[in-house]
Amino acid sequence: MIAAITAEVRKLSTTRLWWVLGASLAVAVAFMVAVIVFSFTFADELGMSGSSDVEASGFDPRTLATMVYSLPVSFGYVFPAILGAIAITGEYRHRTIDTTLLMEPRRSRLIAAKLIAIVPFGLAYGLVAMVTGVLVGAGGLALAGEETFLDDPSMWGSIAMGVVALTVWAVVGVGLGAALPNQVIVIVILVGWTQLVEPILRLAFGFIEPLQGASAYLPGAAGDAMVGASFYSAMDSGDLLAPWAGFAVLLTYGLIASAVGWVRMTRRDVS
Amino acid sequence: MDAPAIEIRSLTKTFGSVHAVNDLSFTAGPGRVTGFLGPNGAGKSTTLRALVGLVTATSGEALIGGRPYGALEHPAQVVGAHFEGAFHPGRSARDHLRVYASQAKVDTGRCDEVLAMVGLTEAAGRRVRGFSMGMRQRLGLATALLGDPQVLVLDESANGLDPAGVQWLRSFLKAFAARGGTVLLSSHLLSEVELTVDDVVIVAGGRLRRACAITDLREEASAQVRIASPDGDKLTAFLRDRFPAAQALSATAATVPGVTAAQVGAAAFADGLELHELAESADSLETVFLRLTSQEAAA
Repeated sequence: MIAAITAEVRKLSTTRLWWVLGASLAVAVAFMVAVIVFSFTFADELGMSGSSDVEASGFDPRTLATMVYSLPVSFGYVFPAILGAIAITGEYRHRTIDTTLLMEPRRSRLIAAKLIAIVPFGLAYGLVAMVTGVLVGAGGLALAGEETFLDDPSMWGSIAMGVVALTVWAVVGVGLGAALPNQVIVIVILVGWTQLVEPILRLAFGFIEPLQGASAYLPGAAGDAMVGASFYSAMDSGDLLAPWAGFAVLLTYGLIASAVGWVRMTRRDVS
Repeated sequence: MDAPAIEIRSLTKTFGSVHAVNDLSFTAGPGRVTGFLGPNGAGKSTTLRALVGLVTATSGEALIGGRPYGALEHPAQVVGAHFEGAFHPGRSARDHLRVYASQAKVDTGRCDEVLAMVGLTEAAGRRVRGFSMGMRQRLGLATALLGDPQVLVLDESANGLDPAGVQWLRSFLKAFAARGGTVLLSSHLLSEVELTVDDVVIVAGGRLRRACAITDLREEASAQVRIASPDGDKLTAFLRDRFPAAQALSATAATVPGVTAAQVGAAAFADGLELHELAESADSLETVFLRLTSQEAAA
């Protein structure tokens, strides 16, 4: 098993993908956090709306800070998910799956090795995203004269949960890749779902009375819940789960996708 | 000690309604290079994939040393296999091998060793993206050799090699077999592997057409004699009496199978037939191969 995990880690580390995606993640997070912190804290100066001053918008300073530190998860989770998915779909795309299965004919073990090998990369992505997000976010808050809450240990707990959330997203990505081993389709679905479908659903569910509770169980919301606040819930689109419940829900998505992938991969011919 | 043999027993594989492989049985023994030949779509790749567990057989077995691939304890140390195009373009040749080194139970030193064996030491650090077809084939062979196996299963490994590459592969595989190894090499071109293989297994339409030593196949490439005479009527009568198996090419020319020029010449002299042409020609091995794999042979 160690040999299989070593092989999977080397597969990820020997191409450019992991750092290209990682660098993109840092840039995307820095940009989104800067834009949102700026628009929330300087809204009145910009004259966007007379009442969207921080206090007037109903945020207490602590919620605002937590929401800012959740942004790397809300806007960055597609990156570890894509890395995880490509860890499987890339093997089919480049036909390396042949040699991979020659070296490890036990396909269940191969999927397990991939799920484990992605964890250090997910952690690295989580660290990059949260460090970038906290630097830019705290900088923006301080510039606007808001409290950063970085002297509060429980805030650092939330930030650490953000690292965990992004790591779980990498694992979910591996599951998705196993369930849908077509690289183009899985990337289109991931980008479409994370950037378009889920944000719309979360806003829409907020306005539909019977579905209001359901939006908390969407995967993106579950990931946000791990940090304890969300840009989307701040936009009045439903409550979040408790951090550990969010972790459980997100991990369940990953396990369901992996189970589907396991059934698919263990039964399919590689020809 | 001799390497394990490859045994295909009544292997059948259907994809939907298509019979890719149909009740195929053959053996590839140790110390021999076995050519697995047939036209495109004959079921060669499917058979090899079933042999190494990438494809599950509909019925029948494909065994290595009496066991299915998946039941081998350290498969990479017993069987080295390579299928076409299994490289990530952005990975260097050495990294490609290093990825699999842990599973083949070898260290990085072995990666450089196999790269040297296939003559890729200079290109070790280059990304596969820039590799020629021949270099990819060499890297594929290096991958197969990583675990120092006793059995090689190579899918179209001579494809795309230049003449020097084919010659290099030939001497490499012959030496491997001479040390007791088992080699099963598929190809759709007999001419490409003709001088490399000891045995041939010829398939077409998923069925076995012939399994024999290459020397037997050469004997089958029988001689024939072409004759021509200005006297068409006399030629026809001569052939009817002497060589009923002859085939007319025109009113004044014909071919006679399974004889030598001397035999036909002597008979024509005895019968007083004027000959303007008397030439021996042999079916090439390629012709025999084409005949074996043609549609008529299936009927």
